[in-house]
Amino acid sequence: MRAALLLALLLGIAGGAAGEALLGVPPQPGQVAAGRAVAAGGGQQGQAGACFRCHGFAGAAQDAAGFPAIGGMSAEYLHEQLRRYASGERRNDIMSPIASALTPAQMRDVAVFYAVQPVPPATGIALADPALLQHGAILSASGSAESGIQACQNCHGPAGIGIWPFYPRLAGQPAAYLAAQLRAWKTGERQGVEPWRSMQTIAQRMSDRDIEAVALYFASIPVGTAPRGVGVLQ
Amino acid sequence: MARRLPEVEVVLVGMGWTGALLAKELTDAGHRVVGLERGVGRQTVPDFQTPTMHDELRYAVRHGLMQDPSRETLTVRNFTGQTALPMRQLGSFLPGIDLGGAGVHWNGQTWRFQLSDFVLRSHILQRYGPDILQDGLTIQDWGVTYDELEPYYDRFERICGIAGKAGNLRGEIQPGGDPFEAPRSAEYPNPPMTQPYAPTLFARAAAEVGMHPFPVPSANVTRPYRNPYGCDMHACNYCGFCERFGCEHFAKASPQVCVFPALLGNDRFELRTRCQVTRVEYDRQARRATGVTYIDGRGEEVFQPAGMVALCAFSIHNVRLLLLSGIGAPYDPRTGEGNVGKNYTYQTMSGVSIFKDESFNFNPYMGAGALGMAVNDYNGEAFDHSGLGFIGGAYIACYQTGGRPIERHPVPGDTPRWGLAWKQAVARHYNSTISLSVHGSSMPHRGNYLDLDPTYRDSFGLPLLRMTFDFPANDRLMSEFLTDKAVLIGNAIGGKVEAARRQGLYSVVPYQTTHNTGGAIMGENPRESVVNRYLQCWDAHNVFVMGACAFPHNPGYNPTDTVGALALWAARAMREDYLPNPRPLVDA
Amino acid sequence: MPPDLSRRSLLGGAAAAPLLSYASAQVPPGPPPLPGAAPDQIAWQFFTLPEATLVTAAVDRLIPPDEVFTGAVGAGVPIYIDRQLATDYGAGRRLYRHPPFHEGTAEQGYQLPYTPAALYRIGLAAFAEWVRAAYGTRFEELAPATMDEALSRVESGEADFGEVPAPVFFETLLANTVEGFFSDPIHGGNRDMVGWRMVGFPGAYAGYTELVGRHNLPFTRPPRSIAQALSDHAHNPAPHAHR
Repeated sequence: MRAALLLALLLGIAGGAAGEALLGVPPQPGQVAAGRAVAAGGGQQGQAGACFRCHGFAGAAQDAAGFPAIGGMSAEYLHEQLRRYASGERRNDIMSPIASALTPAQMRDVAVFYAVQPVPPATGIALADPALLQHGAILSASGSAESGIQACQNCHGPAGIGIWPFYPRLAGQPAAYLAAQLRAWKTGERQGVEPWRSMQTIAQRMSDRDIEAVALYFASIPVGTAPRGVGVLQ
Repeated sequence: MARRLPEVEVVLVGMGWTGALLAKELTDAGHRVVGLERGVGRQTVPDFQTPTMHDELRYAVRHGLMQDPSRETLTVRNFTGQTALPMRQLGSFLPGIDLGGAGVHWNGQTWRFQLSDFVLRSHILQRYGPDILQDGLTIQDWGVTYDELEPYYDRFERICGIAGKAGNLRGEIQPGGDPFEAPRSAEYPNPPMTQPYAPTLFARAAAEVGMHPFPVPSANVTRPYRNPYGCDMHACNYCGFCERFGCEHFAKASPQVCVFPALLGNDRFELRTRCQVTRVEYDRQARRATGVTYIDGRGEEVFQPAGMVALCAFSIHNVRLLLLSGIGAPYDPRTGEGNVGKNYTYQTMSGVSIFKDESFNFNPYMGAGALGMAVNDYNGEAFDHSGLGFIGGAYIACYQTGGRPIERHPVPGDTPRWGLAWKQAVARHYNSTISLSVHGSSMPHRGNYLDLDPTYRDSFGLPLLRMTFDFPANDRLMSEFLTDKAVLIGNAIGGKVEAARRQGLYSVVPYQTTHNTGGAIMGENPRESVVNRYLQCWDAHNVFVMGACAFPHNPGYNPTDTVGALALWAARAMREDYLPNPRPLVDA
Repeated sequence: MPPDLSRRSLLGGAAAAPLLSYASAQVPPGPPPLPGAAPDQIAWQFFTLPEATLVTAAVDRLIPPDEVFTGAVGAGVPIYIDRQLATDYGAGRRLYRHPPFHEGTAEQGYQLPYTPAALYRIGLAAFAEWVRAAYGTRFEELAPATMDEALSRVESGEADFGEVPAPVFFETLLANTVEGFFSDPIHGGNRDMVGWRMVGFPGAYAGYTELVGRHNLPFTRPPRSIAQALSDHAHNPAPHAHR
């Protein structure tokens, strides 16, 4: 799969700044439709593995359930997560069996399908504790000297808007999802990507309050209004 | 009249790499240390965070992290017959300022010198006889051997978390590493960096022409790492903003990342910022220092008595402080007498560009300061110089340090310097050009030296340092030979190959390297050196001088690994030998 | 709750997917004065109007517009230089300015007593004077090819500027023009990141861990600048406002 992708890249067409493309390669004709069919339950698990049951066809977040917003994420990122779920590098009781049942082509198609969706609007969430929110904002913009944590925006962009293709959008994600991921990295339940293990290293230095604060802060950022075409991936 | 403070056990002048290392090693041994830094404090968070740190104009072009020449600079000339004039703006080299010094804005290329470098004179005479030495070359042995220094190289590399591949483990050549390196006691603490396309093509071509490519040892670490001081580093993300910038990721080794977290807060260490040391107070009769005088942030002159003084400022600043303090005899190029300022050396740089067709995407902005591949087949004594008429050599490297476009927009030599053709050539070649560095040695010559300028002064009214330097004929021959080798590799890569050769007099205008070496050199005896093998002044046993000013010549490698190793080697001597029983550690 | 399948046809997803192009990029609201505007429409901080007019004409010959990418004027380079000269750089804050001043050799670098601001003030006056004497009119009135010829004579030193050597003035102007074309837009030039888009430099937000080893990758991410963070926030009011 990786080799095939690389070959595609080597043969690939330059141009096409669109975030929905797998790096440098615009979607193949029919790929989006095929991806939607996978999302609708066309994978080998049938309806049990239908992405839309949790993510919808727009890839919007479900705050209460802690399902992340995947619409408008880069295809590269989504594809890589599916690959990790399937290989066991990233573990999740729901996602691992679904991803394992996808063929390489299905995995790529469904990644492209959700990548071409517009970023689902998130309106921000009401918060009770402005001090906690501000703590999260400071960690996002500056990091923490005491804990040796760098600013989130070094990699994830201003206010967690995401930097294409591999640094995912944090803005507007459910707080529960973000906090769960940080805790999983902290405990080692979610392994960082070898050999860099960047998020694991950072999460291990975060207190429970830090985790709560950044999760709430990014969840509170409204998305969907930023101008198109200036690096915000649609 | 200077305000006099209570005496301290050890005072360090400058808090860059060597100051930080000495402070840590000496406080750990129970000594009380005061560190004086002329600039202000700064740390990874919040001072180096993006996006503001990724401002090429502010930091790379306007030198936001460098010494301010309006306050202190030096004068330059090529020959003694000329009038030296001040370097009114920074150019050829970029000394740092503020806590961490140039250890904040370096690239992280971390090389060891060769076995022969430490015994250069003996080795050259024994291998080739005296005829190979051109008239005026003042090479000498260092007084310390590679084998003695090896554990301290290893320790400094562990403190920095160097990423690399050993080529010689205890005498056994290792595949994938540098077969010409001196033996190491252990593998690097971290695996090498992920190599981009251009260095990979370089390595393939170098191997085709019979050379031995390997990944450059890098202080941009490749995985989470805890160093021997307990300081944590994070993995580099190849952002392409290393040299001239601070690292936001805790990924590039610096005093801030690798030492200060384990030092600041120790009760035995006191850091004083905004303290510019103007001289070491020297008792000529007793042949020892009594302390240092500095101007504090309020402009007040302060005398800090100290039992021991270590000069830890940038190399040329250390030389200037010795001259301003009257410690040791200034070098006189007419007689060859005196040692302070002698053997000033630099780095003999050239380059080769390979312009490829537009189907190549090198993405130069995916970079890191020490990211790249190199060959050492023609460095130092890795090759036979018989019949060549010169000594020394260079590494040839293909680095991918970043693609910041104000300073990096390569175009072929026949391109107009401006206008439409220039603009279109910039667009055409930005992403498809390979650049090779030829990083050559610099041999000392009796006409190249440092002393005090008779005319120009700094903002405190003190004489500026005066640099008299041009590349000796030996180094020009070396550079021609090595640049030809780089062209050979360029031709094997294929494309339009252009060499930027080392031509004309040394100029202080274009940036070359911040590898200013020599001037307070180490050696076996006081007749030919300023400091002994432990970096202890022959003329004042309680004054130690750190830094690249101790190098009797500058080999064809970057200096920082050796600067760090020498500091740790000297720190051991201070800790275990000198401070328990202060005296000259080597009999004159 | 099942999603609304009727909202979008299966193929609609593809048809609706925008292929981002630079041409369609929207400019954030409230920009500074348009760089392409006539010099008398711009609030200069350092240049007089005649100076601004001359600089504007000159830099657009150093980096001219073409069919794809605008030139120095469209990129805001005159505004960039004006802001630089009005602040620390112009004042020579980091320039060693102690006398005596001697001519020196090329290897000894800049040895004039002038700050960049003074160099421009004197140099632009001399430039205008020399053009009038040599060509009988103002620089900005010349045909483009004649402008290029005049600039080449300044570059080579054939033009005599009196106390400021013409090549020193030219090299300073050229260096500042290149800076203004490629520096982060927060400094007033490189408008719409045209310099970065021209070469494909992705800008201030940078991290390529998982890409650096993918050789010959056609990487086409639109660039992102420092100031853009602020414009994004302007579009995304502070979280507190949404409580």
